[in-house]
Amino acid sequence: MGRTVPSITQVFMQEEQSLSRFRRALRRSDQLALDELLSLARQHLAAAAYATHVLPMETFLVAMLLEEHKEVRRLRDEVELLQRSLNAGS
Amino acid sequence: MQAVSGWLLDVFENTQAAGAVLWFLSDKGERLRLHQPFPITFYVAGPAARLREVWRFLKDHPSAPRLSRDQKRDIFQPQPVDVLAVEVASLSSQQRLFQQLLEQFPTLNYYDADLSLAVRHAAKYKTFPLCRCRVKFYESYLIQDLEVENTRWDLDPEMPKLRVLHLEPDCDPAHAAPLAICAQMNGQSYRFSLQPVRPLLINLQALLKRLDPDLILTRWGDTWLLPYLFELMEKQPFELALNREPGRKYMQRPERSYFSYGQIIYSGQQIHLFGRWHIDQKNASFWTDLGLDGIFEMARVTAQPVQVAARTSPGTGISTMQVLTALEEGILVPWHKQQGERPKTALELIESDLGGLVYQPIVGLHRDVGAIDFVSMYPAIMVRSNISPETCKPHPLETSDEKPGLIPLTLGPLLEKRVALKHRMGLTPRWDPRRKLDAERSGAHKWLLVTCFGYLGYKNARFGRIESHEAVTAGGREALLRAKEASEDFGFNVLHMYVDGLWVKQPGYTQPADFSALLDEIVTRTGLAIALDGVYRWVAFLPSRVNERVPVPNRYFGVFQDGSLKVRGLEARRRDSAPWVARMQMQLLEYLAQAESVDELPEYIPGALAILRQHLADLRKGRVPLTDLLVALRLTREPQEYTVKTAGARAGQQLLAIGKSIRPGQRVRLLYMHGGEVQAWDMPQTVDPRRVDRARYYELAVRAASSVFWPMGIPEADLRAWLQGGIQLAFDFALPAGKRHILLPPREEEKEWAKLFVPGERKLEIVYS
Amino acid sequence: MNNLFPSHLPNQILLVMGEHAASNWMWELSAWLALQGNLRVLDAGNRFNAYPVAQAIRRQHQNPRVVLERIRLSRAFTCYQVDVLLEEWLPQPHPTLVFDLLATFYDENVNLPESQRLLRQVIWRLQQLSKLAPVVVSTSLPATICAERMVLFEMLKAQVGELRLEMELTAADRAQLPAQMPLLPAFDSTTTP
Repeated sequence: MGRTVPSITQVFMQEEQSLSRFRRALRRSDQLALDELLSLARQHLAAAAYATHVLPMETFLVAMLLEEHKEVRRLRDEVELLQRSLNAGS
Repeated sequence: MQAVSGWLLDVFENTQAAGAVLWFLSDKGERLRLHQPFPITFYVAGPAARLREVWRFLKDHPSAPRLSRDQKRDIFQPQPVDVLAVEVASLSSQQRLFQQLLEQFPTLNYYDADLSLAVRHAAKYKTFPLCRCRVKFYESYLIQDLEVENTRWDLDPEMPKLRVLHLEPDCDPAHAAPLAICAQMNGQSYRFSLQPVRPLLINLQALLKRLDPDLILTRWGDTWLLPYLFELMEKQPFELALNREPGRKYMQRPERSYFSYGQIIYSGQQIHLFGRWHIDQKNASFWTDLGLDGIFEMARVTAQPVQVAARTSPGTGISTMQVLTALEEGILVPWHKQQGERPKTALELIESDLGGLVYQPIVGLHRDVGAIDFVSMYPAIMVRSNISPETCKPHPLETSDEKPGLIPLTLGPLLEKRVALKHRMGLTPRWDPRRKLDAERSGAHKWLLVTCFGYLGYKNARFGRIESHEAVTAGGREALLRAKEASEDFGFNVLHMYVDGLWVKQPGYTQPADFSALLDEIVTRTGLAIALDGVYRWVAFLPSRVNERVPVPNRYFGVFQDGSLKVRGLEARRRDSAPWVARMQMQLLEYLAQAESVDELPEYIPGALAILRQHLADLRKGRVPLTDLLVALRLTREPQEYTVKTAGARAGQQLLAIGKSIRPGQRVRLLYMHGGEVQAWDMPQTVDPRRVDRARYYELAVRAASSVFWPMGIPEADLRAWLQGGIQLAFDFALPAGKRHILLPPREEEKEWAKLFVPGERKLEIVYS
Repeated sequence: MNNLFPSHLPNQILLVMGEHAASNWMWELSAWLALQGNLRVLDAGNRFNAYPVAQAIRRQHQNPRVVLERIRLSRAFTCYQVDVLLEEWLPQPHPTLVFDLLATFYDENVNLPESQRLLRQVIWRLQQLSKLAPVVVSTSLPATICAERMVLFEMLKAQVGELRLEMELTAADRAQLPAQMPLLPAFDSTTTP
């Protein structure tokens, strides 16, 4: 028996598809950034499925933010480390 | 009057007198044909006025049915239903009568109307194939008393010594016309030429009479061998004793294609015999996985006749078990299910219509990873939360005070048997032959338990209900998340989760005992049984290969601490891979598995690369037999229906063009040829090996190898460049991280490769994707 | 979206046809009706995708969850279930939407006379419901392999108040974008497992 509500993967692909006109008009470098953002959201499909939000794109956006924030934190730690070693050196 | 002890082999309708025929194998080795009366009852329900009309219609019916009024339980109704019970002397007259009633009274509800004789017999006498029983019978072989001494749930049922005759044509009849039939029994082999016909039949007859086999085990017996023999018998005419039952022909079930679990399945035509069993290894759904003992176990626990169980579709077995429970519990079996979904809001639909949780693993190579699985999670949830069409929908993983419903009643003992067998297998040493037997039987249980979940939601399942299906998946998601939380509370890092399993690691946790506290905690939190599948020395999770837009969370390989390999989703495990590619990949993995620990793994890379080069050299020099290059692609529709002409569709059309039949769900074997062409293997003409597109196979092999080398730190592009020769392969080994160099001096063979790739047709290029 | 629909649906059966049983239009209609009040949906062809309905509601209402709760739906997977579900539905002054009504009747597992008998009954039930509130039924034509089931469609068409053809833009009709290449390498741990 087929399911009635599409799976989270199908929903994700539809959302991706709906961005295709937007994507086409972007510069190549920006397209790459968009693709990276989408792939970040993709890492959390299982959690997004469990969330059963009526507008799944909102969950995907939060998933992108989450991964972005992880990256910011990582970079912040790295900068702090560099700063400390710079300070120690000077 | 005589009394014997023995095993029941088969039960089917008696065509000489109304009732059932039972074939027994006694302790002394006699094969006995006994019979007994076996009246059949079915029920009609509806408005009282209509039922009175039915009564009048049946009162003077020639089949002389016995009519009575009764109240019975319909599982989908809150109150018992008033029914008209109709009893007739034989199954075939019941079936005829039912058809007549359907035509006359199509709007009434019918129950127990389309059940097999075997399941009715099982409900009444507790019989099942190969059950132990004591029978008393008269001189006329009429059964006076039948007593079954064991149950379907015995862990160690006593098995009779069966006589097995192997029969098969000397070649695959779909590929070429056979010239002879090969027979084998008791270690002796015979070969009977198909021509001339008379000696063939006489020799076969002599063999059948002398050996009197209980089981005729064939290859292509359903699709070619038995139909061929029966046709010969008719033309001659000659009564070959394929059946033990005199005067019977055979029961034929036609081929069909059907949908099951989102996949189209092909089931070939079937030939069932009477008094002996016929099993066609090529048409037995579970032959490769379960073997004969698995098939017997399938027959035993589902109470389906052996010949049916051998060819059963997923779902049919579990459905039969449910029907049996219903009959035993006095619950009506609806002819077709009528109940639709209880209304829910669109919001509830979004929140309930989802399946198991499938995570994306953290790809790459990991060391010391514990793999934890819930044991038959979905069935366990059905039993724990008492999920059944007639019970209340529970909160996820909660227990219920209600009386156990039909589904838990059916699954409970099966689940217990599986857990007990699995437990025993864990204690049995690997060399013990009982381990294989237990594994085959446990495999049968696994099949049934896996399908019971899908069957709960299937539209035609008689006791299915969408709400039950949803309650089960909700329980599964809850269990997985509780297991995740427990793992993290215990300091583990969760690498991957897949519906009912999770992979966790924590530095310093390397032995099974290190995980037992976690296992106990998960059991406490979920109430479900859980088992440590093993601790991996190392395991590699792979990214998707074919289409990067589609996640493939189930592609991994790893080595357990005892050195055994687990491979999922790789070419080595796929049924459509060319055997040569699958074997090459498996050899790479087996070689790498020899590394005692992940620290030694890098030392094994050069050897693995050598294995790959060796296989590629075999291909280039034409040393790979064509049969090892066959790709077996499953058709998902009729060959002419494909809009995009896939390789499988084109091969299927070649076969159609010469009048061979090929149906959706069947696999078509083919070779890739030069010019992007394919050739179906079952075409009559022989293949010119020089026309085989070896570049294509090179490509398939390198891809398969790359899946193995990629997680070790060797990108596919580097692997290809290295294979081309002339470069030094330098890579960062993933674990323990570190630079490695593998030098490959240019060799003549790399230059030779270039010649194989016809200019313009396919360039051997390094693909960076 | 209001101009998609007649401003007032009459109390009769409206039959809608189109690509995929006019599902896109039916989703929009579900959203539009739900914004105004309760409605019942019988999904007879596995067509009710709640996500586009939620999106359509979101354009006009800040909380789609509340509005989605006004839609009560049941799914039927056999023509017997279609019949039984409609039989169980009490007449109510709310609109009824039936998605892909004939899908299960085209199923060849049930013989044609039996399908016809059930469909007659189902149409009668729909007519009863349509006396109190609008009933909108969507359907598709039978596949070419079961062309003799066309009689079922003709039966339905003869009994409805109004027929509407919903010509939707399909993917092929829209201006095709050139295929866009993914820019991330397939063997990148961040893209896919």
